Amino acid sequence: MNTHRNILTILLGLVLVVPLYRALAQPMQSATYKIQSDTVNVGGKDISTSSNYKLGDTAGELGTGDSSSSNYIMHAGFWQMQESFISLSTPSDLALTAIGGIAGEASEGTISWTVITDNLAGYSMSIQSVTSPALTSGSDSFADYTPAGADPDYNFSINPTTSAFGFSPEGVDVNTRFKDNGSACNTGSGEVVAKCWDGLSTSPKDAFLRTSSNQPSGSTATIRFRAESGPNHIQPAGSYSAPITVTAVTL
Amino acid sequence: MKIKDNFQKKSIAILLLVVFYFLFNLNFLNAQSNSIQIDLGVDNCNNNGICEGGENSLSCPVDCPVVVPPIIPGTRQSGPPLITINNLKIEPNFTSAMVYWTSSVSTISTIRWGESSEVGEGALKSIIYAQNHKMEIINLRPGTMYYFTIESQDVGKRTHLTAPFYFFTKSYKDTTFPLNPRNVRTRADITGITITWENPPDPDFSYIRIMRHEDRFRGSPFLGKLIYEGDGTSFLDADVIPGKKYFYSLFARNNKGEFSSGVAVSQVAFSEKKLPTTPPPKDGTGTGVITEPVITTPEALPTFFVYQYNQIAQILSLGKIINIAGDKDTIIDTYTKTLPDDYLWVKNNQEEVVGTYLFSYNKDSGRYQAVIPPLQQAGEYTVKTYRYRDGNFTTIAEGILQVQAEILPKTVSKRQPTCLCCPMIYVLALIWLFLLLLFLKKTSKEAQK
Repeated sequence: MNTHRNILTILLGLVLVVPLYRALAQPMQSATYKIQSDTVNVGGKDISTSSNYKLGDTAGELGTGDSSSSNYIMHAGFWQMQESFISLSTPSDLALTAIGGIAGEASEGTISWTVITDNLAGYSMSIQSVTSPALTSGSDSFADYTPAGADPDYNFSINPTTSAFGFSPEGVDVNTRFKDNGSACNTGSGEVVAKCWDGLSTSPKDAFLRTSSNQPSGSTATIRFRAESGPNHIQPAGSYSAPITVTAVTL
Repeated sequence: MKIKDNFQKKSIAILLLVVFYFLFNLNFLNAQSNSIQIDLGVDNCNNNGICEGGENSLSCPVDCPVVVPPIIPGTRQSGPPLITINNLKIEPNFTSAMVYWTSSVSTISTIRWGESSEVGEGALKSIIYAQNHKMEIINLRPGTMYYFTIESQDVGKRTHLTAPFYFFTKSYKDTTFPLNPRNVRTRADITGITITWENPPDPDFSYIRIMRHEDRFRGSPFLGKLIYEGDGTSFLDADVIPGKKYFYSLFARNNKGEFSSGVAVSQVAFSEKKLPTTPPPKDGTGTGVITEPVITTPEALPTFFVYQYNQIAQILSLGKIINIAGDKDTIIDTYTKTLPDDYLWVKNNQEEVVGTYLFSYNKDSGRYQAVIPPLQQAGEYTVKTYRYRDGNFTTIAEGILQVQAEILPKTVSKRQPTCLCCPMIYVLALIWLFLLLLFLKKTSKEAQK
């Protein structure tokens, strides 16, 4: 009797688990979320930790291990899928064209990064300055550009008696906040070059966002920088520099 | 056995839970970052051969060489200085003013300023010889008129002192009077003198007060015989003596109790007796007989300034054309310790008097002012200011105002009440009422229960 019950229990378990295995082993998604990979096995642990290592393990998974051909290497198994890759190129520093600080002049320049990720959910990229304000020379500085409202300014516009330093992202992955409708930012789907300006901050500002992988070619993320001294402002002479950090994160 | 079965069931359930937990708690983020630097050189000398604002002989000797006045052979060096001041530009703000100018030769300059032409309140001196000059005068009072002089000294130690210049600092509030009544006209017939006008398009407008005088105009709403107060647009003064000339001053009062500077109009009462036939002037003061004021030149003429709110002031002077905007009041302003009942006429191109306006003391600005309503038609307008003296009115200042066609307003009603949010207010009020009704209904149901 007991044996029969045990057999029934196992069968019931198989009946329940096997269809789940088939169903859950496929990537699933809703309108909002996507499970990139999954497995149904008999045991395992998400994270086991020691002072130096963390371990995620699964027991009873079939078809795991490495195999290769002349062109490909395959790492089979659930845990192999839990890694995503992102790379960010390292462009050179940007030297803006020097300006005169007495009669209202401006200088613009761009830096481009190549971002590659195989993450199906995409990536986001932010920019932040190391100092506040960003562009300084000793005690002299350009103010961080301040848009008139919450959204970036469509045109770079400063008071004639001030100077300012700002940025404008460009590229296919520009964050919605920097997209425009031809006259205003954070609205529409356009991306006009040298429009939609914001100022740097020591807190990260999201400049790019992509919700899909872009391997193997990647995306070019360009940021345009502009420093302007107003016509009624005298910007002290000097060598100004703005150390900045950009960070690309898989989603 | 039951215990064992339950144990097995629980084991399976826990296993499933562990697997699901394992699946849905994976969170792997990967990030890459790098740091770069943006460099910018700023130079205060662009070496373009032009001595621009901010460049001077010290910071930019290539662009700004020290220009020494030429020495004419056969003349003494101590002759009259060859320094001239050009391109003077003033940018007043609320508590400061930027002054720009150029000098014909390189000079060290001293700027002195004050609220009177004695310019004794402050001084600022440059220390570098330059031809392009820029100085900022600070710690000024808002809404105040300031005078300043520029003293220049060249490398030969010769000096040049300008006459006082002037500017008004910007005012945080418009201290001009309330708007005057407009299109004031008079008509005399057997019933009396009828005065008609249009009330000012001012949301704060309260009523019109008319004061009557029998000798001349007076720029006070408290002097004379009060003959009318109300918000109508006409008044019949039946209490008149045929053939006698009457002087009316109309003032608009706002809800704060402030009166406008006043509009003047005069009229001779109708008489069946034959009066001396003097052609009525096109003076806008009615159809009655009025004589042109005697034009004489007083010994000490006051200086009248013309400006619009937060705009540069200019002196009203004969033959000088002053550009004004057609959508704003124009202030004719002077400083006086007495209130001499001045008034002014504004005539258009056809020599028709557009209006006659009284001068009143403005306690906010401490100055003596007449306010000309917006001159809506493009063109030139002649302004003549008169002062009552020894039984006569004498011309004390005149000039020309010019309204540019392109700056004419589409609508001219200043201070017209606008309510852009009104539809939104109604919608919000309706929503609020709807919610209130729901709340009351719910409350009453609960009470019934």
